[in-house]
Order: sequence, then structure tokens, then C-alpha cells
Amino acid sequence: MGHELRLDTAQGNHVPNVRLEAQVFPGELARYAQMERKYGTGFSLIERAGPDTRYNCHGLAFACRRTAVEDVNVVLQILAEDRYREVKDESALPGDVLLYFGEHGEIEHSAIILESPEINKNMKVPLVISKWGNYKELIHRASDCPYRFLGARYFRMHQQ
Amino acid sequence: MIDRSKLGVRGLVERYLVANMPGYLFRHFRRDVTVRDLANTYSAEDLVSLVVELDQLSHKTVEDLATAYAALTALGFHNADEVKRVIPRLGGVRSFRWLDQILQNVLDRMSVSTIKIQMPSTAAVHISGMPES
Repeated sequence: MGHELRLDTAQGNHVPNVRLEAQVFPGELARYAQMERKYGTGFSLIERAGPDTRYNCHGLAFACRRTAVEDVNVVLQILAEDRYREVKDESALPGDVLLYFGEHGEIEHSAIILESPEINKNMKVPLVISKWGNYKELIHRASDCPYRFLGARYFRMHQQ
Repeated sequence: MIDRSKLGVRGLVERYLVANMPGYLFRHFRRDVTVRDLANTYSAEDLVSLVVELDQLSHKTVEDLATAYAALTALGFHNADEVKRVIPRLGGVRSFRWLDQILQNVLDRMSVSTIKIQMPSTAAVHISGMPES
């Protein structure tokens, strides 16, 4: 199921990935639509691209939408070998990556920042784009999604 | 045979839909009470039969897909030897793309949680803070 693309980090090491060309079933789409309504109450979710199995959230954030990165250790490899460093909330800028963590500290989701958290100073919740499973790319407030915004952290790729 | 209509996997469906990595699915399913109930109610043999049955359905609903992954995750609460004995029955299953990764998670978890301690029968165990008898 799926195939792997040639994809390397800045250090030249291979990034394991899988590109799955498949259909999202109508039954799944109906349930996704329900979920979208659930999380779209505070701010209208904007669809950037339709459902797609070829890439996931990490593929969007780290692999230009070409493929899916499905192993958390590979995400950690990318962060290290592409020279990502954490930036403080108030310093985060559009283009930085927002990583969501689970209750036990595991990376669970990634998003790209579209609007700095500082613009919305009271809430410090940035506007982001992310992909939910096989579903759409959605533009949403970072907290209006099925993933745990509490404890999310910002990362930026640095040149040498 | 497991009656799928009584499994109550609705709560797992959203988690399945937003899963972007097999590890995410496994971690969240493993913590879910529905998966624990599955493990407590059914044998590893029953769970594998359920996955095979779901694989053979011509039209799978999202509930069917979530149920299959729930059953696979539930295997992790069973005895390692029992699970290893029934896993070969999944060899022909083709419908669930994360089957191998979920099974690997199940087996990895077993390998770190199955600890045998062998002590001579005459050994004394002293627990700090407890008065010696």
C-alpha cells in the first residue's frame, strides 16, 4: 500500500515516508464533515485543499505536501537534521511550524503558522493551516481542531 | 463470534479519522475504555477472527475500520504467547494499511511489559520502611 519517495534531510539522510494513492470513502467524508462543524464554531474553518491520502500533517509541514511522514521518530529526525529550533510564543512568525504534543509529550500533529500569535494578543492563538488525517487542509485557529493545543510549541528552521 | 453491533465504537471513530500516524492511533486507542472492554471480553482468537471478518466485507464503513484497529490494539492486553500464536491468521488481511505497524506496537509493548523475575525460594525480600518480621 503506497510507495516511498526519495526524500532527504539537510544532512543528506533519507526520510522514511509513504505516499498513498487512495480514495477517501464517502462514509468517511460524511463523518469528517460532522467533525468540521464541531470544531468550526468559534471561527469559520476555511478549506485550503480537499481530502487527500497522499500526505498527512507532517507531510504538509515538512515535505511540501508530497508524501506522508508516519513515524514520530522521523519527525524528530527532521527537526534535528533540518536544524529546527524552538522559538518562544511571542517570537513565532508566519511560516514557522507549530507542533502539538500529547499528554505524555509525544508529537501528535503539526501545522504551519499563517498569522503570528502576537497579532491576537489576548488569546495568543495563531491562525494556522493543517491537515487532519486523510481529510482536508484547513485554515483554523490553532485551538479549533481535534488535537491538543495546550502545550503546543513553535519551531523554525535555521540556516547554518 | 463477536456481535459488531454491540461494540460501541462511536467514540473511537473521530480518533481514527484524525489519526495521522499509526503510533497516534495505537496510543489513543490503547487508552480507550472500549478497547480495554474488548480485550477483557474477548479472547485473542476472537479478536483476530473479527479483524479477518471485517477485512472480508465488500463495503466497509468508517465504524468497521475503527473496529478493526480497536481489535488489533486490544490484542496488546492479552498474553504474549497467545497473541503470537494467532497473529499468523492475519497474514491474508489486506484492507487495513496500518495493520503491520499496529501489530508491531502491540508486540513492542509486550516486550517491555513482560518481565519474569526468578528468585531462589529461600531469598528474603526486604521492603524499605517495612518492619522486619
